[in-house]
Amino acid sequence: MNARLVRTLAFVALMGIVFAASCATFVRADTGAPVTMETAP
Amino acid sequence: MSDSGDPQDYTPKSATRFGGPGHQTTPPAMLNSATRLDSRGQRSARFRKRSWMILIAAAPLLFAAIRSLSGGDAIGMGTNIGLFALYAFSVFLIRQGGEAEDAYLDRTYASPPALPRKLLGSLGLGVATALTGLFGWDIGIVQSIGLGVLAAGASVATFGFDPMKAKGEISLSGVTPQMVEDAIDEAEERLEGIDRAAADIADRPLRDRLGKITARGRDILRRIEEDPSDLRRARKFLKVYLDGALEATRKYARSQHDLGDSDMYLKFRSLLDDMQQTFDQQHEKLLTNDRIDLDVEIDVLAERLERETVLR
Repeated sequence: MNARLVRTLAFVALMGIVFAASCATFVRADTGAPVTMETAP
Repeated sequence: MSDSGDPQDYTPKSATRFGGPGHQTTPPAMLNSATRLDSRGQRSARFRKRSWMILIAAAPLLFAAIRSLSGGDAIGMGTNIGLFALYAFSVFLIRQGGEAEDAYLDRTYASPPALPRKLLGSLGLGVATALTGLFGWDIGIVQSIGLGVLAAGASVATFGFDPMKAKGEISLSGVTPQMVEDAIDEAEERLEGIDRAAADIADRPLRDRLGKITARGRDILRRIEEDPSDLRRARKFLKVYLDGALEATRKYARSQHDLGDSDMYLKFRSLLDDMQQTFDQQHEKLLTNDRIDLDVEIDVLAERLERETVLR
């Protein structure tokens, strides 16, 4: 696997992690409780 | 048919087919340097773009802060803004590291950057992600640390490590990369000093002439960087001339208004003429790699710099 592909995949993974963490924070900021199947409307 | 030969033999140059008989290709060495420049430019553009995109990915934290505020949760808002600030600082460090790496790659002789900024930035991204997992997402300490480690690892894989080793070869004349770097840094400082002192001189032609002299000085520095075998000889030149020019310019700038348009002005101007000429000569010698020693000329000018009223 060439180095450029590895860098691109790592970047996609990094974006995914950061985006997931910040989106989850955004979702939780409203209710102050974890979003589960039970609490979802 | 006439005596001029078969018209079929004649092919205009513009009609030569690419790869056909008589076609001359550009030497690969010339193309290689162009391709390298291009790929480096592409690489740094990609680097900049990617570092911005991480900030965009972290932007929901700002919206989360607004939501926390509207929900009356001031601590939550502060936490979210702090987390976003940590992401922004990490991205800033990574970008600075990228610029330092570009400067390192551009120079023939270079020390590694003082701080491994890209690595510290990646570490910051890991910490920011772990804290977001812990306080924002609330997934527990173990998962948060795991997420942080993953983010830091992905960042290192994306942006790479900082240059760690000094760059440059030891030349046959025993000139080390450190010597070249030190001499060039010192000379750069003096050139900047001349530029600053020249800015205070009211007379525009004198300012312009000093600007030309410092530009030529920078050409000489670049030349030395390309071929450091001349450093020993050039160092004396740089030291004597740049020190002399700096001193003379400072003193003239200080006393220009006291003496008005007197004898001193003419002397300073003719000194600059001589200096410009000798800078040009030195540059020419370095370019042609001529071994004729300029030491005699340097000594003459040094003596003159001592003698002239500008220096008293």
